[in-house]
Amino acid sequence: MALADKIKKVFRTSFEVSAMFIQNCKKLLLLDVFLGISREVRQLIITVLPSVVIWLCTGYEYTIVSATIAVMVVAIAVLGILIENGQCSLSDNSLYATNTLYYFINGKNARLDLKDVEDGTITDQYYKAFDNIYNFSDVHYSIFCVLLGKLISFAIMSAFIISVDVRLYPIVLAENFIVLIIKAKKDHIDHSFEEEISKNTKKVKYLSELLYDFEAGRDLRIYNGNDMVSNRYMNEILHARKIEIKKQRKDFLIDLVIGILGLGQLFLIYLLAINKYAVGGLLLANFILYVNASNQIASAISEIVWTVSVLHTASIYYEDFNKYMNLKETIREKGSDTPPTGSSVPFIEFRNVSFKYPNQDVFSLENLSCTIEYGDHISIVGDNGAGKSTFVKLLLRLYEPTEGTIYYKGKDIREYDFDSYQTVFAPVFQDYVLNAFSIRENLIFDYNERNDLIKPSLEKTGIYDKIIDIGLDRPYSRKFFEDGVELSGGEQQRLVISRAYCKSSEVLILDEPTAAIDPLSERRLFEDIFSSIGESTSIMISHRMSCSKFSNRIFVMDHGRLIEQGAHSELIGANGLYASMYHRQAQYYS
Amino acid sequence: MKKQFSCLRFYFKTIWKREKLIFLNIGISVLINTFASYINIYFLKYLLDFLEAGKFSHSILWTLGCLVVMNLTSNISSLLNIAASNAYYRINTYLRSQILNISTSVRFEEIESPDALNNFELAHKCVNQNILSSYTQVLISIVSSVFVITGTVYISFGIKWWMSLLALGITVVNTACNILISKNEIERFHEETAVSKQLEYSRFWLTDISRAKEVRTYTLQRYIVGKLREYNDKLFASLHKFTKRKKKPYLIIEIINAVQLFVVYAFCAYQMVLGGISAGDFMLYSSAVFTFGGALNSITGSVVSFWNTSNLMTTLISVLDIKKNLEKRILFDEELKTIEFRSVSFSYNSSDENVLEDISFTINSNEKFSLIGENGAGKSTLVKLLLGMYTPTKGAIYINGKIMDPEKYDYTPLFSAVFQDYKIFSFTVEDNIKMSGKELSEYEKEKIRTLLGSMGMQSINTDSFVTQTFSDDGINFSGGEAQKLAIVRALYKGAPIIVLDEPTSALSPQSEYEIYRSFNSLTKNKTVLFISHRLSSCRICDKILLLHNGKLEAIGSHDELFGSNALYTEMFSAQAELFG
Repeated sequence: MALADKIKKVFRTSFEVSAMFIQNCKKLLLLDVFLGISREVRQLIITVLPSVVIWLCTGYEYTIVSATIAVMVVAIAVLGILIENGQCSLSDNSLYATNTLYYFINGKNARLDLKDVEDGTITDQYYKAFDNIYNFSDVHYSIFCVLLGKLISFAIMSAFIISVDVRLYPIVLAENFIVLIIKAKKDHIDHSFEEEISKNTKKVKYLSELLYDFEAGRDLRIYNGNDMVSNRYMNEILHARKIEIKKQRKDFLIDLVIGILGLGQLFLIYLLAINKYAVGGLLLANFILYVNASNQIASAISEIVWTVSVLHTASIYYEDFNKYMNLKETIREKGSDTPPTGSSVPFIEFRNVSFKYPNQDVFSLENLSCTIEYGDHISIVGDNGAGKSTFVKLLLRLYEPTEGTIYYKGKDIREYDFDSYQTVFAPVFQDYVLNAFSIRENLIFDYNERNDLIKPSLEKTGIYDKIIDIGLDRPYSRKFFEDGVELSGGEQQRLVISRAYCKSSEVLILDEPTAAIDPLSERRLFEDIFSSIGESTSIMISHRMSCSKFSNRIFVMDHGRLIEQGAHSELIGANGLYASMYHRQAQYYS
Repeated sequence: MKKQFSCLRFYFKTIWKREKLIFLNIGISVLINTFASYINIYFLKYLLDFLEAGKFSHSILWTLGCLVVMNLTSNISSLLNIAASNAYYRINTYLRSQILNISTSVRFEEIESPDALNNFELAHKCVNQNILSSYTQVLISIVSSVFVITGTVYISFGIKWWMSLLALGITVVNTACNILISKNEIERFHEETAVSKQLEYSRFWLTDISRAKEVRTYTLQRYIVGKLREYNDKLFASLHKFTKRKKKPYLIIEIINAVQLFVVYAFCAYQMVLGGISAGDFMLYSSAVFTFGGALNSITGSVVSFWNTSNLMTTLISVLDIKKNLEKRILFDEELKTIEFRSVSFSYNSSDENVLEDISFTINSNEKFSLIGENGAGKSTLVKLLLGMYTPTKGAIYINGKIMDPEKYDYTPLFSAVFQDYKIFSFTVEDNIKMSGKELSEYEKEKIRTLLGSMGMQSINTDSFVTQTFSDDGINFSGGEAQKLAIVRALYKGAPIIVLDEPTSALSPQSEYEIYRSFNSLTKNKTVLFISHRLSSCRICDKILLLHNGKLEAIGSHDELFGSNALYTEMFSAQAELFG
C-alpha cells in the first residue's frame, strides 16, 4: 500500500520536525494543543447556537431561551479572549523558534568545506533550504493544533450525525479521498517548479543587493550602469513570474476540480437532510443543526486531508533542509589531534603537493615541495595566477591537496583537529572584510580573553591612537549606524592586520597586506614584522619586491611551480625571474 | 489628509498608465461580491421556508441553484484575483527596477546615510507588501460593502430600525479598537524592521563567500551563531512588548461582539416566541444584521489600513520623484580645458573637523597628476569631490572656469575611474566593460579586444560570465585579473578625465611594469589623476599633489619636490631605500 507508507513517512518526518521546534521552544506544544481544543469548542457552540435557539423557541419560556443564549454567548466570548491571547503568544514564539533554524543552517554554512561553499550547486541548495524554512516552520501547529482540533470536532459532530444518518460518511470519505490524491500530485508539481525558481532567486538576490552596495554604486554611477542593472533586474523577476504563471494555471484547474467535487458533496448532504426532513425524521431546528454538523464534518475531514497534504509539502522541503544539514564536512571530519606547542625541528613541509580547483583542467599547484622552518620569514612572489594564494589556502587546510601531503611539526595536517589546527595561523587575506559590528568585535570577535591583546596589536600597526580616539566600541560603517565609523582603506588594512596579531598565533600569514598603506606606515609595519626573525614565523605574499628583502627566504612561483628559492642576495645573484622582477620595480626609484 | 489624497492620485495614475484593465476587474469584483453576500443571506431563509411549507422539490432546486451560483462566483473571483495579481506583479516589477535604478544613480551624498538608505528600503518594502494591490482590495471592499449595507438595512428594517443602529454602534467601538491595534502593529513593524535588519545582516554576513575564509581560519562558527541568537532574543523581547499591548483592545472587541450576538439572537427569539416570525425569517434577520455589521467593519477596516499605509506609500512616491530631478540634469559635454579647486574645504558632518582644508590647485587638460599622502590625508575625499559625489563645504570647484553644480549638470561623461574597491559585476566580461545593455558594433568590440590585449588578457572570452551567479560555467577572476578588467573598463569609456585609485595594487610586478611602460600611450590625450602609495607612480606623472592632514602640502614635479620638500623626500626615500 504505497499511499499508507507515504502517509506514514510524512507523519514520521512531521513529528521529527515538530520535535525540533518544540525542543527550541517548549511552550509551543502547550499553546498548540490549547488553541486546537478551545477553537473547536468555540466553533461548536457557535454552530449549535441558532438551532438551539429555534428549538427552544418552539416549546420553552422566553426567560429560559434568553438565559441559554446568554450562557452560550459568554462561553463564546471567554473562549474568544483566551484564543486571542494564545494566538499572539504562539505567533511570537513560533517566529522565535523558526529563527533558531537559521542559526542551524548558517552554522552549517560556516562549517562546510570551502570548496563546497564556493560551488554554485551547493549554494543553490543552501538558498533552497534557506528560503523554504517557512514551508515547514508550522508543522508543529498543523499537527498539534489543526489536526488535533479537527479530530475532536470530527468526533463530536459524528456522535450527533450517527444518531441521525450514517449515509453521510461514504459521500464525505469518497470526496476527500479523491482530493487527497489530486493534492499529492500537485505537491510534486509544485516542488519541481521550486527547483527552477531557486535558480532564479540567486540572480534576483544578487541584483537587489546591489542597492545596498556602495562600492558597486560608485562604479554604476561613473559608468552609467544603472539602466543595465535595473533592466536586468526587471527581466529576471519577470522570468521568475513566467514560471509562477505556469504553476498558477495548473493550480487554478486543480482548485476548480476540487471545488466541483466539494459542490457535489455539499449538494448530497443537503439532499440527505431534505430527504430526512421529508420523511418526518427531523425537526426544523434539527434540520439546521444537521446541515451545520454535516458541513462541520465535511470541513473537518477536508481540513484533515488538507493538513496531511500540507505536511506532505512540508516534509519535502524539510528533506531539502535536512539534505543540506547533512552535507559532509569532509575536511573538518578528519583528524582529532591537538597541535603540539613549542618549537620543533621539522616545522612545515609540503611534499609533492599538487592541487586542481574543482572543474578545472589545469593544476594550480604542481608537484610542489618545500620546507618552512620555525622563525622563518618567507616572501612568496610571482605573477598573478602563479598559485601564491592557493599555496596559502592549502596550508590553512581550506582546500585539500589533490595529491601530496602537507606536514606540520612532523604530522600530516589532516591528523589535527580542524579548529585546533587553525589556532596555529593568523591570516590576513587580500579580500579582507570588516563587519558592521563594533571595532572591538572586529578585532577579537567574541574571544573576550583576547581583550588585553588589543592595545599592543593596534600599536604594532600604528593605529592605536586613532582607534582609541574613535572609540573601541563604536560600530563600524555608517551604512548601518548613524554613529558608525568610516575608515580609510589603509586604516582598514591595518585594523585587519591588528586582528591577526590579536589571535597571537605561531604563524602570521599576509596576503598582499600593504596595498592601501602609505609608504611611511608600510615601512614601520615591515620593520616590526621582520624584527622578529627567529622568534615567530611569517609568510607574506606581496607584489612589492622591496619587502621581500626583509624576509630571510623568498619563494618565487610561476605557473603553479616553485622555481626559485633563497635569500634576496642569492636570488639577485642567480639573475633569474626574481632578479628581473626586482629590477623592473627598482628602476622607478633610482 | 493631503498625503492620503496624493497616495490615491498616485494609485489611479499608475493603474491608468500601466494596467487599465484593473478598473474593469474592480467593477466585476464588486458585482460578484455583492451578489454572493445576498445569496448567503437568503439561501437558508428560503430553504427553511420551502421545507416548512412542504415544497420539497422547490427546496432541492433552490439548494442546487444556490450552491452552483456560490461555486461559480468563487471561481470567477479567483480568476479575477489571478488576473489582478499578474497585473500587479508587472507593476511592482516595474517599480522595483525603478527604485534600483534611482538608488544607483542618485548622488552619493543623498544615499550615504542610514536615513536615506532607509527610505529606499521602505520604498522597497512598500512594493514588497503589494500596497497598490491592497488599495484595490480596499476599493472593492468599500464599494461592495456599501451595496451590501443598503440591502441589509432594508431587511433589518423589517424587524426593528434600532437593529442597524446597534450594529453601527458596535462598529464604532470595533473600529476604535482596530485603530489601536493597527497603530500598535505599525510600531511593532518599525521595531521589527530595525532589529530584523541586523538579523538579516548577520545572516547575510555569514553566507557571504568573501568571509568564508575568515570564518574558518578564525573559528567564528560560535561567534556567528551567538550573534544570530543575540538579535533573535532582542527581536523576541521587543515583539513581546507589543503583543502585551494589543490584548486590551482585543478584549473589548470580544465583549462588544458578544453583546451584539446576544442582543440579535435574544431579540429574534423574542419575536419567534411571540409567534411573529418563522424559522426562515429568524435565520434571515439574524444573518442580515451580522452581514450588515461585517460590511460596516470592512469599510472602516479598509479605511484604517489605507490610512496606515499612506506613510509607506508617500516614501515610495518621494523616492520615485527623485527620478524627475535626475532627469532634469543636463549632460555636461563641453570639451575639458581646466579643473580648478578654489579654497575647497570639506567635512562629512558639520560638527566634525575638516577632512580637507583650503585646497587650491588647477589641472589643465591632458596633464597627468599623481595624488599622494599618508592614510587619512584626504585623498579619497578629494576624489569624491572631484567626481561630484559630494559638494564642498566651503569654496568651489570650477570646470572650464564655471562653477561645478552637480544638481544641475550630470558630469559623468567627463569621468572614468578605477576605484580602490572597484566592483566587478557577475555579468559577462563585455557587460562589465561597456556597462550598458546595448549591442556593440564590430568596431567597439575590436576596441575592447585591443584593450584587453594591452592588459595581457587577450585570451579571455568576452561573452563568458564572471562568477557562477548567472551562469553555471561562469569564470572566477583572481584579484589581479579583476583589477585589469576594471582598468579596461575605465579606458574603454574614453572619458577625458581618468581617476586611478591604487589601480595596480593587486597586480604582479610584471603586469604593473607593463602598464607603467605603456601608461603614456594608454592615457594619451587624457587628463589623469593617479593615486598610489607606490611612489614609483610619481615618476610617470607630470605633477605631484602631496596632501598632508587635509591640507595641500606641496605641488610640483618629482624633480622639483625631491630634495626640496621634506615630507616627499622622506616618503620617496622610505621606498627607494628598499631597492637600494
